[in-house]
Amino acid sequence: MTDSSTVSAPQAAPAETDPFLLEIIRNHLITTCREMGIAMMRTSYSPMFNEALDFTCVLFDADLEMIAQAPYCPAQIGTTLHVVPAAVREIGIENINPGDVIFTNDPYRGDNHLPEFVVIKPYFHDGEILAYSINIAHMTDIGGMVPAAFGDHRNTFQEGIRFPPVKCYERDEEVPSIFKIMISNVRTPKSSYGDMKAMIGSLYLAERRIDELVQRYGPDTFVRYCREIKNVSERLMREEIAKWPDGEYSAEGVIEDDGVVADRRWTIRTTVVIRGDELIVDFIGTDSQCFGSANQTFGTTASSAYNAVLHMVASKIPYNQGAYRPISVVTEPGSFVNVSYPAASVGGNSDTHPTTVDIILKAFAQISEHSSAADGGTCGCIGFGGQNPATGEPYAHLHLEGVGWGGRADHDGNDAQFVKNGNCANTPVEVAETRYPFLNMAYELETGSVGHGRRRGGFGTRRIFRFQSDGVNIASHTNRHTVSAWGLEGGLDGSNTVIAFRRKGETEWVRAREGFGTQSYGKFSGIVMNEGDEMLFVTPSGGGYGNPLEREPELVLADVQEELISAEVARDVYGVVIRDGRVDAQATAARRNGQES
Amino acid sequence: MYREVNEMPKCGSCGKLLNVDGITVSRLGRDVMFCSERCIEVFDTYKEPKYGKAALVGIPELA
Repeated sequence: MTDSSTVSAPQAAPAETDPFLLEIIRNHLITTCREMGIAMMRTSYSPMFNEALDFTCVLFDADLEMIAQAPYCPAQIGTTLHVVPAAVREIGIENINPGDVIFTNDPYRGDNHLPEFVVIKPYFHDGEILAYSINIAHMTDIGGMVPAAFGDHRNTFQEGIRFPPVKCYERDEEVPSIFKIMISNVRTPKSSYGDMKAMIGSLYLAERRIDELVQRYGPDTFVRYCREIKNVSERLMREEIAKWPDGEYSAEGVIEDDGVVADRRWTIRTTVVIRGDELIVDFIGTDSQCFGSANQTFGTTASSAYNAVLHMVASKIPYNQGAYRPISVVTEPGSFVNVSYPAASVGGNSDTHPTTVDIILKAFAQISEHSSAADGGTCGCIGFGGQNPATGEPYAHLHLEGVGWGGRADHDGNDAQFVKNGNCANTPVEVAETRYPFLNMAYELETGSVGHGRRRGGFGTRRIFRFQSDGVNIASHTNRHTVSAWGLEGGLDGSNTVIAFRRKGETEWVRAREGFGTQSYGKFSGIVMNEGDEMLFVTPSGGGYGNPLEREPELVLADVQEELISAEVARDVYGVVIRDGRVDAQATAARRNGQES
Repeated sequence: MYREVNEMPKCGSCGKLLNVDGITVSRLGRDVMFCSERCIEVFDTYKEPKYGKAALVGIPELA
């Protein structure tokens, strides 16, 4: 997500608007979002928040429209446009009092998926709501049939506990029944309670910062400038869209399976419709909702559409509600991209979202060179749970992992980077090993396997876990085990994910389907590892962009010298002959011209 | 009284679940609820012209 705080945009504002004040207010609001995140990072309990940073802080105005965000998780940012108004209106503005906090995690009411807890606090001034502070964050455990929520669920009841919009605070006091229900339904009561309080604490911080603005400039100015902040972004976004040629541009792609039905692929079809300065992302024609949890909620699908469009926008537009106004989404309820109750959807936000973004980018590739080949298409969500021998208490840990990104016209793909739906980090080895009963025996780039191209894809990672206790319960919702990240413009496809296991003392790795009888290589639950057993996790690489034979020989040489590819690959795929540590220009030219076999 | 989400309408254009009332208008011979004026415009100028009667596939009838 682009950092929008460094942009000078107010030149487009009308004459009666003071552009300096507009910038001051806009940056104050963005900085507030950042400060909320820092507070969250410092006060939360779980590595999911203080290390992986899987949360987002945004501000809305009295019109229930987003006025500021900080560059946290794109999937969550886009979702707030839908879940926040839905939650507030269902409670009823007339029923909201100062000090209340609204809470929901309902995936059918605009949220991404059940683990994404949303808390919303109104800011009151003289009895009127002038703004809302919002924190949306991925709770590690939400109960359900597997630790840390990801697996091969068949319905939402298996996924975990669901809260429709409720008040979890009333007039600055906890609503005890809500917390009792939440805490008694998760495997990690202490850290879940602490994380929830960290989320709510960030809302109070934002309230103070908004109040500083209102006290300094007055409520009328605050309200008027919030609206103008949005209008400026809308104008800038419309200018960007108008640069693309009118027309309809279609693309499709698949999710390899749903974890329930073996080898059944699920197709996502999209058409990007450019009409002047407006844009429609149409998903009609997409398959029906699946039997597992790879389905996207409406919130996830809308967010993936925004995410793709924002990847295509060259200029730095301040991202708030105005930037999203020209973008419309069309979906069919009950489809793979708009799941209906009570079908499952936890994996839709992790693995389907990035693939949906890449499908939309594939459509954009028909009209723009700013598109990219597909990325690794999985968040690498593997849940570990059991009884921690060090504490005697249950634990749940959600492992996230980086993948290779797709190459684009002017860049190789990023290595080992979290997919496009989140700006999440991995959990450092030291932190994970301190808290949980496993060791990392290897953690490195998975070199050699990549989507080759004039701009090659990025590399995935290779990790080996060794478990230090019996009864470690493992579940996974990962992708790209059988369907690779695609290349663009003559670039080659990327490499695949591998998850495999071996018992203590054994030498051969065995994958989930062959070793444990699961329906899927990457979407499963109920695999139990014991002390000394190991798990291998290789994440996929990105697709390549452009013909590999057009890659500059010195870049190929650099890849060989850095041991990212072999000299044989340099010769056979890139047509670059390397001798004595240097490019043999004559032999390379001959090979690339087809004069040497 | 609490209403479960399967009893709630969906927007005739974007398909979003409407947990609070939207805008009800008549389209293709029946009442259809939309989440916004913008979605009505997208339906009238894009979805219905492109898909005809199939524009409302998957959109449940209003109770």
